[in-house]
Amino acid sequence: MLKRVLFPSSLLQVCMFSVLTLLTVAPGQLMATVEEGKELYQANCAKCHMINRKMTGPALMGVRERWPDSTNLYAWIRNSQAFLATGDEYANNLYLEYSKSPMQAFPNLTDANIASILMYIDAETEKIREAAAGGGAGGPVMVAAEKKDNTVLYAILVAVLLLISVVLGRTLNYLNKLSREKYDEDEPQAGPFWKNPKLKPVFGIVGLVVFCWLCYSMYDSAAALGRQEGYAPEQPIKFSHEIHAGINQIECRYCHTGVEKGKSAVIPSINVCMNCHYNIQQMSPGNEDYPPAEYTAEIQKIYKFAGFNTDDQAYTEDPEAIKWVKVHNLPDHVYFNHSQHVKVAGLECQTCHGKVEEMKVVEQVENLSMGWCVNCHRQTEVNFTNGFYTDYRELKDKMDSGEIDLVHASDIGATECQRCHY
Amino acid sequence: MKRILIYVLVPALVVSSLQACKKASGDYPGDRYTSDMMYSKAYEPYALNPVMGDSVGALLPAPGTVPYTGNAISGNYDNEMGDIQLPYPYQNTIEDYEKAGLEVVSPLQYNEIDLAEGQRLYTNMCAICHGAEGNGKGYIVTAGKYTAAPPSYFSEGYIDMPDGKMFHSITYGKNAMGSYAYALNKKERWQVILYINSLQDARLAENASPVQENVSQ
Repeated sequence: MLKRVLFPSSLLQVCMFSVLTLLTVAPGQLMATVEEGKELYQANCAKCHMINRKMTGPALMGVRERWPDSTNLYAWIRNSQAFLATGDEYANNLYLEYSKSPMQAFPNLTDANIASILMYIDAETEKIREAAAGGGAGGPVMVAAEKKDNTVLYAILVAVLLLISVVLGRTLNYLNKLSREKYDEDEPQAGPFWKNPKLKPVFGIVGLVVFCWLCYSMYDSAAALGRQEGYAPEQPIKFSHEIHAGINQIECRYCHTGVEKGKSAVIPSINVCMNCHYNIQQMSPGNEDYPPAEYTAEIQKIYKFAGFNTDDQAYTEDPEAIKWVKVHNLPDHVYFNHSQHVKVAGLECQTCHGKVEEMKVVEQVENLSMGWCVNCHRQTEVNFTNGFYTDYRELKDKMDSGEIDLVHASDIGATECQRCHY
Repeated sequence: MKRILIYVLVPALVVSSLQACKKASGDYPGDRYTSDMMYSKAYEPYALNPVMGDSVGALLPAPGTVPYTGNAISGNYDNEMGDIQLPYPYQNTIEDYEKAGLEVVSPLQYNEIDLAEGQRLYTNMCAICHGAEGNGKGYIVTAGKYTAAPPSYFSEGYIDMPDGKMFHSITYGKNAMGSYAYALNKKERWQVILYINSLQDARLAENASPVQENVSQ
């Protein structure tokens, strides 16, 4: 009865029957889908293979054409070492080409699993070939066309408004003149306005304000001399902290590894770039601020500096030093240590460097003046939990007993001259 | 009137001359009056210097160098740390990778302090690809930026991986992963491994069939 309700059509019944038969004949042979293939590919293959170029293993584009006998291919994927033992010439050459780096065995992948992975690879290959055929130079041109420049429009608007105001002004003057002629009035007498005694206090106040502003401005411009607030130099590679630390959420410490260990936070060496850019060789589209054509060229610069040949995926050329421009300069007579501030005091990078994760080009946002340093040393409470300040236990005990409210960095010598100048 | 002019004109002159000094913006670092105090005469790390010619200022330590691990105050050599920091005798080859798996064992015993430090280091250095939970689904992988998705620590061949192989992989890099010896010293590498082991143990405890992970993921 229930069966009738579920399968009213005899055709459907036949279909279900054949599917069930298939399942019993070859258990585990499910419908191979691209979606399932993608999942499996991500979990098993992606760590060593890419579709469009070689990485640890060869590019998987056109793998079926290179392995016409699918039985061999399936055997190779399941257990490459066992397949090598059969003496297959192509497989053994491949093994040697990749310096005998063995491919992991995947005994748990069923035929259907492998079929779906291959379907996914085919689908991706199709996409790449379509993009290569249809895309071409279309990308950057389209971006340029989309970017509207409104300057001309604004200029025309301003010109029209100016014209209107001039015309209106002249009309007003002419009308005034006409009305004066009509009523026989004289031209209005205008003495020099600065001789008007009523305006004297106004001049006094304005003079005082100007004087104060000048004094402030004198101090401000003298103090700014030698400070680099606002310095945002162009770097040899347009490295964007916004992409790396902001959009892609990579920890600051991932690259600036010295920040907890020593004086310098460390400008990362190029092997750190290559950790990711060994794989990421193109700027992915989708962000208007970062046109792929422009930024792919920037990524390619890394390979030039690293001596990395993208065709061979190997370091075959001569490396070159990247001459990064230092942004945050402290005078030579100031000692500053990153680990003291990050590891000991537990400060965030942004406290001194601003929101670097939102900067396309790094800019110095604080003036790094002594007043700025000392102000923070006076306000920052001592971090007693880090284990470095056991010598100041007395102060901590006093604070815990309520004898003193807070212990600031200045209380343990952070405002002494020789703490930074020696 | 004259007095007002003097009060305004003189400061105005000073201000305008001071304002003529360009402030820092874009490529220009700003004018200064003590450039010899501003820019170090001594060679700074990561800056160009004439000794190194056109090369980088920062160099690798000499091969086989062992970092000093003494206590700065007492001067006593820290035995436990010192042994950990001794040179790693295995080469970056497939044979040595297998050998390291059999021979290299962690000098760290399970303890909360090293585990916590391992977790912190893992979060900073590894989680972006390997995922905070170790499932190989870090942010840049799930966001589709990085296509060489790393394996889950719970998949077959990884859940029971010997510590020595992990250490070897962090030291020299493996497959698409680069070497992390520049960022993690030997003790830190063992701390990270301690944390990864704790993740795997937790997974083993809650799931008795890790083999499923590889296929059904």
